[in-house]
Amino acid sequence: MSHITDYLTPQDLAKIASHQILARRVVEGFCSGLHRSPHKGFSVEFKQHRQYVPGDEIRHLDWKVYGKTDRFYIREYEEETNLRATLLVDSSGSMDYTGSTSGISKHDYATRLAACLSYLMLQQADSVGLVTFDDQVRRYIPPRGRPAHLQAIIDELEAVTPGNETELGRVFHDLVPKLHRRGLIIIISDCFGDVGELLKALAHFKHARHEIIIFQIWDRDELEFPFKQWTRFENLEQAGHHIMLDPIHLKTAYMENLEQYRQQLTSGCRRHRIDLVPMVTDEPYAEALAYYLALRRKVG
Amino acid sequence: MTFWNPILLAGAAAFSIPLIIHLFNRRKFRVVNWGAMHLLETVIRINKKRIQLEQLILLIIRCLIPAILALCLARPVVNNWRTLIDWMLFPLIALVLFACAWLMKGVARTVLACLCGVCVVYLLCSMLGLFSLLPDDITARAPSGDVRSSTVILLDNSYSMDAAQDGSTNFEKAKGITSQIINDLKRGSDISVIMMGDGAESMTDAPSSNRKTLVERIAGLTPGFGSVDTVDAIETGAGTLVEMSNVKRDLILVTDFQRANWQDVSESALSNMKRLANGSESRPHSVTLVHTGKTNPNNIAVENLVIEPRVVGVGQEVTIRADLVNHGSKTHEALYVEFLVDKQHKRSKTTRVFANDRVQVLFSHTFKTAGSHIVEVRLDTQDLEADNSFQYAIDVLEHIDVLLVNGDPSDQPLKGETDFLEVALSPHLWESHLGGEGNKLTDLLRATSIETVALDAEALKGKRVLALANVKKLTGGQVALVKSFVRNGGGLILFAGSNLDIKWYNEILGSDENELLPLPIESLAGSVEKRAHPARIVRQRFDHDALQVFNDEAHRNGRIDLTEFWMWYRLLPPQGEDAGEGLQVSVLTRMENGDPLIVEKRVGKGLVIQVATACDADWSNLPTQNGYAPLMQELAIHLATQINSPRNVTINQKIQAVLPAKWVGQSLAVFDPEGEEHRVQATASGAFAVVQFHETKRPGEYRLVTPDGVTRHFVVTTSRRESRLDQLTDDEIEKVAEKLDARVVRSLAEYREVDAQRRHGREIWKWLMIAVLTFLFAEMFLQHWFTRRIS
Repeated sequence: MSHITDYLTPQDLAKIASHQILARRVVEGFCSGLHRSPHKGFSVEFKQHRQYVPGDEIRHLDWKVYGKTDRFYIREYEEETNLRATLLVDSSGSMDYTGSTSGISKHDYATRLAACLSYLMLQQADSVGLVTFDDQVRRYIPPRGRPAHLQAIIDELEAVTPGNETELGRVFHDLVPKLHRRGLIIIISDCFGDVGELLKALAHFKHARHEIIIFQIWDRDELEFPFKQWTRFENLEQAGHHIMLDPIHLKTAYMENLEQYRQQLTSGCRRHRIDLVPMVTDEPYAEALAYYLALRRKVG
Repeated sequence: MTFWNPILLAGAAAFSIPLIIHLFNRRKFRVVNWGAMHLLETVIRINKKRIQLEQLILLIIRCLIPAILALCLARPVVNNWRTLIDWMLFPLIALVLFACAWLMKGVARTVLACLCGVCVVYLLCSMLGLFSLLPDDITARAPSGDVRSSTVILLDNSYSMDAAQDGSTNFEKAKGITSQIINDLKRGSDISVIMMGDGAESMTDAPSSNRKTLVERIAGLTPGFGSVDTVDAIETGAGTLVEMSNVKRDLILVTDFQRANWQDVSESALSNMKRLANGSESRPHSVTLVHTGKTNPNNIAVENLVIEPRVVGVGQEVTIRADLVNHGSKTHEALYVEFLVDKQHKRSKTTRVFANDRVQVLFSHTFKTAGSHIVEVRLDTQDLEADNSFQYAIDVLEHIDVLLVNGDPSDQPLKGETDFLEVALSPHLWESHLGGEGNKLTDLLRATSIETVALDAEALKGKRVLALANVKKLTGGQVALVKSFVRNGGGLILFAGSNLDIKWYNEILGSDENELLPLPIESLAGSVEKRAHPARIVRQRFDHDALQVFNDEAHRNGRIDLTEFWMWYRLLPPQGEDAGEGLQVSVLTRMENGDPLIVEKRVGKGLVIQVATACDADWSNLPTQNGYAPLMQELAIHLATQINSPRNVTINQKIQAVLPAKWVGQSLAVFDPEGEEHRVQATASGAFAVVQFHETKRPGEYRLVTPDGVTRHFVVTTSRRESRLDQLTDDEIEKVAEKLDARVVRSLAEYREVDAQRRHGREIWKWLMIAVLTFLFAEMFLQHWFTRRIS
């Protein structure tokens, strides 16, 4: 059985612990947390004082104010809800790519990132669920807020191996009915496939009032296409399929195609108010995550 | 189209290198498990044709670069534009069409393939001579004046070219034509002028394109050199021309066609000359024979001088015999012949020389001073100046000191071992001792006789010859002294006798360390008692310098062949492993039974002569023969002068002087016949300094002057074959030209007319080089362009 420390080095934990996830919108929940709730109550975070009226519970009286003013005031707290987050981790074959410089596959990077997020959110008493998928949903772990839930997630992340083709659109459409309570959807994927279908599926999520963050995982090779000699590109998602070419002659066209693809995805996400965070596997994922969280808090 | 370096065409196979690299790269690929396949597939679907086209274009360019470079290095010469277009342009078009057809699809492919097929069919028709779009007569050949040329001019500078006609010499005319030919050549032409006299030699170290300098140097040339070896000259000229690089290649022979130089040239030699002169099929030469001068065979020459005796001493009378030859058809009734010593008139004679006849004129002279002298016989005629005189350098010696070691002295007259020898070497001295009058002649040799015990360094001082006569043996110190004496150039003569310790001679004197005994002594042969059956010298013609005086059939110098030898030592010729060493020993003469009588061996710088019998009258009657004195004198003179180098040499033979050791390391002056000074370094050689001078190209008098002002004369002689001035007739010259496949001209105007008719192929290597560079830049540009925007 793996332990959380297999995925999170102490340095990583130290960096992530200095940030807090703040949902941009108030999400319904019943557990206390840091997320603002439209329901005022008697929770952890003080909101305002009001004068005592008969019927109020005496335990909510603010005795310090009574001592100073000789009047009864009731402390009102803003009730905190818990964040119901679901991590969607792509386990398709394309995620198995290991670049020439990074030394880690995109899938490994994705699972570590998912572990980090799970740990962080469970520490905040948020609920975290996990979905692994390729061309269909492989495993669905519903969100739970118990700290012990982390181990279940990590075990699943360790057990999953990448393979098969990617069908992001269809998988996301299938997931929408399962995630009936609105919450935070964190997609960790390279998002390879038909961009139009993907955006439609994301719109479906948005329609179900989910907040979506996409961590798009790249390898440096995919962004820079550094190949020089004749190369046979074996398809990771389709056994036996390969392409033989002299990369130097195709680099320009590839880069143009890549740029076009990224722009299409970025503009689609912006249109649906989805956060798209590109992350490269040779960059420390913890730093990238911390950077994003800081940005997210600022926006929030 | 021809190629100068056809073998380099094989380099065109290098076109396959880029192809092989391309295929090799395709085979040696890298495998990547790739995820972003959807990005690649789109790219490939859109760019596949473009990439293939780009790769094909680059591949064709890369293949063409080495192929065209090889073609360029092979230096093609185009004689006909049709060949160029048919053999280069159409194949290239066919190749490009084929490549394009391969890339295209549908109708375009069919059209391009058809066009390619048409090109191939046309090529085949053109190769088989069935059809050609272009007529045959589209010549690419350029007139002479339009192309640079490689020209070799063989200029006859033998002294026959000095013959005067119409107020000018043949050589002056030849120089004028040569200079004009050079001036007419296109700028940048390579020119080599080869002087033909006494061995063909180029005027410049390498072919030059500096016409002005060449013309200036030609203007300063003078004739006077020896005979021409025509075959050698053509061979040298053709060899030089082969190394030169222009398409137009001219071999021009400027000569007087002297019969003496051509009559001995065989048909096979002419055939060989034709092959050499005309070059190869890919590099043809134009051969032109320029005939200067007309036949005027009237010429009389001093052909030779003979000096007797061979070595001259002060006060000795010397006889000089001049051989005069009249090559003309006119009899000289009173030819004035002048005899000069050291440029000073001494005597003159008039003689009659018939047409085509030869006479001898004798002069005698007695030198009053020792040293180097030069004698000359000169004719007073108006014909060819170069052969009207003949010089001869003589070293006149004061005297030659000879030390005789008497191994069997006696108080009785002529009983001592060296008594006869002493008289034989210095007869005039003894004659005066005996009261002779009226004889003012002096002896060249000055003999001193001592006993064995008296042989020491003091006794040997100043001596040039040492004779050991019947000496039993020497002490160790004496052997070392004699060894040093011989190795430093002294002469040693060993006479046999009854006192000899044979064992000591064989083991000490003849040891490997001393090497002073030419042949070991085996045993005593003959007997004094058997005088009735004496041994004699083999009758023969003597080759050795010292014995040549006995070759006179009139026996004016006496004879030795009648000598009776009763006793002698049998000398053992080396056998077995020592046979090679025996080659150093030469036998001057043998006895009838085959036993060597006189043998000679060089030891260091000196010489040892071993005589198998005694020098007195005990073992033979040699001392009583009239040839005894000449024999002993010649042997002694030979031993004394063998270290001297010859004063009279032939062309290209080095002159050498042996000087006192004090001049070692000094720079000495050598003046050539034209008075030009050359400096030579004296080097140490044993106890002497030796000076050598190799640049004896020009015949005449050379002078070596030592720092103390002493002059040594040398004379370089050449063959007098050039004195026969008759030339080949016009018909004969035409026949020679026909055999050489050459054109004959007799003036500059004729040459220009002939040259103007010649056409030469055009070299296209420069265009090919430009094509290679263009393709290189194109490859770089296209490579960059095709992969542009690569970050």
